[in-house]
Amino acid sequence: MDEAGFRGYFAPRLDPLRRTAYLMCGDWHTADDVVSTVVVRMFRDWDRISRVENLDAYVRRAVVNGWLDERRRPWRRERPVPELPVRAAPAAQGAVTDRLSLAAHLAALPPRRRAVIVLRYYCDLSVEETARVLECTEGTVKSQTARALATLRASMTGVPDLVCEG
Amino acid sequence: MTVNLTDELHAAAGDPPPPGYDLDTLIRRGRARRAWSRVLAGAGGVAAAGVLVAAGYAGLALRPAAPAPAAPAAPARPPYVSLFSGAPSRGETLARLDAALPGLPAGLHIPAGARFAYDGGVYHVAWDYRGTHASIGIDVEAMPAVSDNGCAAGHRGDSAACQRTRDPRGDVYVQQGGDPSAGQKWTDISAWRPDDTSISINVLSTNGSPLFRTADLLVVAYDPALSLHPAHQ
Repeated sequence: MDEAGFRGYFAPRLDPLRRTAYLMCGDWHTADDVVSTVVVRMFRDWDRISRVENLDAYVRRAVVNGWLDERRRPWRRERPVPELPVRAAPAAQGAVTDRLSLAAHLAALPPRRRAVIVLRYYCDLSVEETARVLECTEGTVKSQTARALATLRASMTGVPDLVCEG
Repeated sequence: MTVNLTDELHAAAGDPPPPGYDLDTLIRRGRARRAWSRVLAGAGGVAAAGVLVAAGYAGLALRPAAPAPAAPAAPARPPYVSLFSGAPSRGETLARLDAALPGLPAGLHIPAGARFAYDGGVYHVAWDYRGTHASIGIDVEAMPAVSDNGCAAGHRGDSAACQRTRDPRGDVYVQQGGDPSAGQKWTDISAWRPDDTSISINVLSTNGSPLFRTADLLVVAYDPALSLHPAHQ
């Protein structure tokens, strides 16, 4: 097995993957669980996986699926609620509060919409790349993005206008 | 003043606590898992060889003195049906799942026009009945280990009542809870079945309307018509 290749691939990507997982999971412990599980699994099958055409998309997909699998466990399952909680987050409360607030607003989104937002606006993927990672159509990515942004805008009461590039 | 979402996301993930692992740790775990897989594969091979040897001895012991007349060769049968070979298309699966909906208990009040949709690995259908929102999600997932008990202390993240039933039909959790002051109550059923089909049923009432009967929901959880791998049953 090409262990040096594995190390060379993951060394610079471990931290970004962890941050991506955090934005989807909403907590660092679960993000660590998801990323470590995915990386260990990748190591086991690295000879095959290293030959995948678009390795970055494959690994991201593994992280997204790892998280979706994880949250389907009964003790992780999220409860459906009729309406997303509205949380006031005045900008004057400071940067740390804003960060926590954004994480809370993200966490209130349905999982796949959350994933779409993270992949598009954090990982900077195009609609096409996001569709490939999530294994859905580009139309689904666009509609999920629009709904997620509308929800974020509506829920971030008190926060100045949300601007999204791309 | 405006908020740039990209900047905010980077800021939100910008101050992580130290991870509980590093790449060396993960590689060590990967090596161990790899070695363990080989041991299991080897054990399987040894077991298979043992069966063959035993079968050979049995064959010798039972062999008749005179050669038996040649029987026509039985057609070769695969030892098991692969989950992936000959798998139905997504459209076929959707049609099959849709066809199963009218057979589900009438007490669930699934409307005649309800249809499954596929989104990123999950087949799901949702409907509303007099203030009760219900959904069924079906995807491919292997059964958890027996020791993997989601009702155990420390796993239940809320005050939900949790009941687990593990039998040959699957590993099924029934969880119930709600917020009486808000008129909200819910039932969740999560089923992992031996056919590698996982079924999740969520029912939520927001206006005090009664939830569907748990017995009816369990019919859904065990219904073989909702399998994603019907050849395995």
